[in-house]
Amino acid sequence: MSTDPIFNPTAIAQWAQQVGIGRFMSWYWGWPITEIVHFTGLCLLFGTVALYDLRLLGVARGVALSSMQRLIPVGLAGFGLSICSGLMFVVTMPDQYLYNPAFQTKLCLMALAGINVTLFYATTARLANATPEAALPPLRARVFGAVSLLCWLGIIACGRVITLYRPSWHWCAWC
Amino acid sequence: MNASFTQLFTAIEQSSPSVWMREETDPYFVALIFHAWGMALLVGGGLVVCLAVLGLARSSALHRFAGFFVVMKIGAVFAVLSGFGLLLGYPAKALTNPVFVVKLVCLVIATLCMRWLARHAFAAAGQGLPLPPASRRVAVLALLFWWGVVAGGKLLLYTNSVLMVS
Repeated sequence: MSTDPIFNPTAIAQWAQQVGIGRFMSWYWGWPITEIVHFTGLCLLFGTVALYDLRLLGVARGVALSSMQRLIPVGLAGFGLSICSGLMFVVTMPDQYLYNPAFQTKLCLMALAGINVTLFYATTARLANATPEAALPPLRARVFGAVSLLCWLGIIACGRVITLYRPSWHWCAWC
Repeated sequence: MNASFTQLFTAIEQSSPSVWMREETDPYFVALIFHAWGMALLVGGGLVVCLAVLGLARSSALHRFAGFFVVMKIGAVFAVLSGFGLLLGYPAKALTNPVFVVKLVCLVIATLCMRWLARHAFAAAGQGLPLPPASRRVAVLALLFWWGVVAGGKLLLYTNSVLMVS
């Protein structure tokens, strides 16, 4: 195995033990509780993001996009829960996640979703939110919606694959 | 475990679809992914609709949110079909676990709550009438049971005690 110039899995796992995360996750109910929090957060996030994306794509045309914006704090709360619980998994068993291609793909898709939403708010959100309730948003907004939806479906799929697909070799693109 | 159940589970687990589901890598993975997508659409959609009933998206007429029921239905179809696939692979593991029953009961109650909201709250909102007084309570109940579905699903992996095949 080549040496990782960025991450030190042993040091990360030791830190997790020192701060108590490792002990909590070693407790019989620690991992399942964290999984419940992770998927609850994901449902809150995906519920708000996916429904907004679907509305951009023309589903439920009577719902004003501006009213769906009010659900963003719920989505952000879900994102916070998912990130915190996800970090608990990673720091407890860093080598099982950092060098797993499914996890790396998941992070790439999260980055892509982040860039997509940033560009959407920078260029199109105002125009999309001004769309009348029963109308289809402009094409540009629909493209942003489709990219976002595909990213989040991919993120969920990768999340599922991580738990089952643990290659015996360390798949490290940056090493 | 009852002997007749043991025989039934053994027969299912030795059937070729069950063996295919369990021993080939792709079908089980695909079913797991579709189950996660289905649950995220179903539960995520349910959470948003309930939050709309609780007043979190006031600038839009509530009954318009009924347009998202179709998304929840698609999620339900994904979740149920993939769930049957997963169950086919390991019937004894799931059907002998009380948490599986809890998950199904939560699913049924959450669905009934959503039907009540569709028939009463959304119908009243569509006619411009005030929401029935119980709407918010039913929405909170639905939120709790949707969360029960999530928690039950996640706990299944850690609470099973009968595994006839591996």
